Amino acid sequence: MMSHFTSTAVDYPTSMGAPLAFTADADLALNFKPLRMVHTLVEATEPLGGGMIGKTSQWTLSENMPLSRLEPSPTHGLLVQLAKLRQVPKDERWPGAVWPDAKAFEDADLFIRCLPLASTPKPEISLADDGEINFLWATADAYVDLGFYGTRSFSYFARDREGRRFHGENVQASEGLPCEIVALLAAGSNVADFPSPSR
Amino acid sequence: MSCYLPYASTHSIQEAVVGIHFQGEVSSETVRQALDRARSELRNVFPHSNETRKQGIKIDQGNLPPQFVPSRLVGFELSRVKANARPACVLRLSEDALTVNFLEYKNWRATLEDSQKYINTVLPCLKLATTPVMAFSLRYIDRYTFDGPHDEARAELLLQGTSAYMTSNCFRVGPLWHCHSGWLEILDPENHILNQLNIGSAHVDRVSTVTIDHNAICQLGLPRQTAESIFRPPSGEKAGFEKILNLLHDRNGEVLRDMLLPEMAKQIGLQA
Repeated sequence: MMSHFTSTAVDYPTSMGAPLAFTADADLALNFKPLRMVHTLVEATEPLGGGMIGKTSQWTLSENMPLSRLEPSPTHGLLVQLAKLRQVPKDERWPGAVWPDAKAFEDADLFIRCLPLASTPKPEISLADDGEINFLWATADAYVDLGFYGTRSFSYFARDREGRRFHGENVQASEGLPCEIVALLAAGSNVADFPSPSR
Repeated sequence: MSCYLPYASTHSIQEAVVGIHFQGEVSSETVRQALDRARSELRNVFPHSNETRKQGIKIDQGNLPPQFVPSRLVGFELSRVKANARPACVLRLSEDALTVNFLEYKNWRATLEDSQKYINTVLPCLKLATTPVMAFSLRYIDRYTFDGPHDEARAELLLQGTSAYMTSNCFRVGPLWHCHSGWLEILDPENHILNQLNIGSAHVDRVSTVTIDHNAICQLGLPRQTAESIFRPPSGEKAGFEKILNLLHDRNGEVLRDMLLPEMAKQIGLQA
């Protein structure tokens, strides 16, 4: 007697991150050498989700599978990076450089918590030798440079793909990035896409 | 004092998925037509594309060697990636569902408009008379990371103990717990909303993390066999795509307002 198994192997870009799901026949599917196997299903098993109830009980749905399971939080990543800079021992700091004071680190911490990181890339954070904590975005669409000296505010300079320049001074750290700069960093967006936090 | 932080500072949304679901599998021929059209029409939005193929294998319980069934096209993925090469937005047709995964969330209006546009591009190629649309869905995955020592993470620092969606046990067991539930909402005699709500606290990337995964699926009483009936239903018909998706979005807001502490809800733009 012939028993019938069917497995699915999906050729999935490696840039898409971690495997989505594995079933009991993952070992079997791993033998499909030409494919970068990450996702297997067995037809005979239960559907992944969306079991139907009531009038439509004769059919089932597969789940609308998310892609982001294991992606780390950008906010947490930046705060950890800032905390590491803050904790650099005195004997490991650059000789002759002015080290940012505690207020500058507090301002930078507050600023990170106001960044719309769901739609903008993470900035590079670095320390300048004059006591500045610098935030830099250098993307294909925009260049944005700003820094904190512990004054509760920051100034910024930005340039878009066409070379248009944007300046701002004395922006409060608690206000975060101005909408026009957020729109520059979120490619293909405009200022109206970024009202105050909105679900 | 240690606290929970929204995943992306001003948003806790890690991913939003808008979907339409078909009764049965879309044929390989139809997938090919849909892929060609989507590649052509949405090239600027989704520069990357990938086919999904299904490979079968028959295994005899006796001594005969396994037999391979020729692979066939069962779906596709069109994607745009972020600067870190992770997906930013993905349009995906997979056997019986057409979904748009948003991993860079701006706001609901933009999410709804974009998903309508992408789905509408593919729909004319699908043979809805034989594989009608049976459901619309909206899934939100919200995530909070704990800004403090792992063993100090507690559900009560993020969630309300009075929430209808949490069990009291989750509030007294420490940093690791989960609470999965589901319910059916009778929208009207024809249309039902199936809710699946999975909440859990675990280590993600060595950080104590709470994930709120809310999947809402509106099951349509009447199958939709034309694109017109999906986006512009006849007058008197309640379940148009936009209206249902707005409703699912509102329901998600209600669930989160019930669960999150007021100050945490306010932080992500959910007012009482």
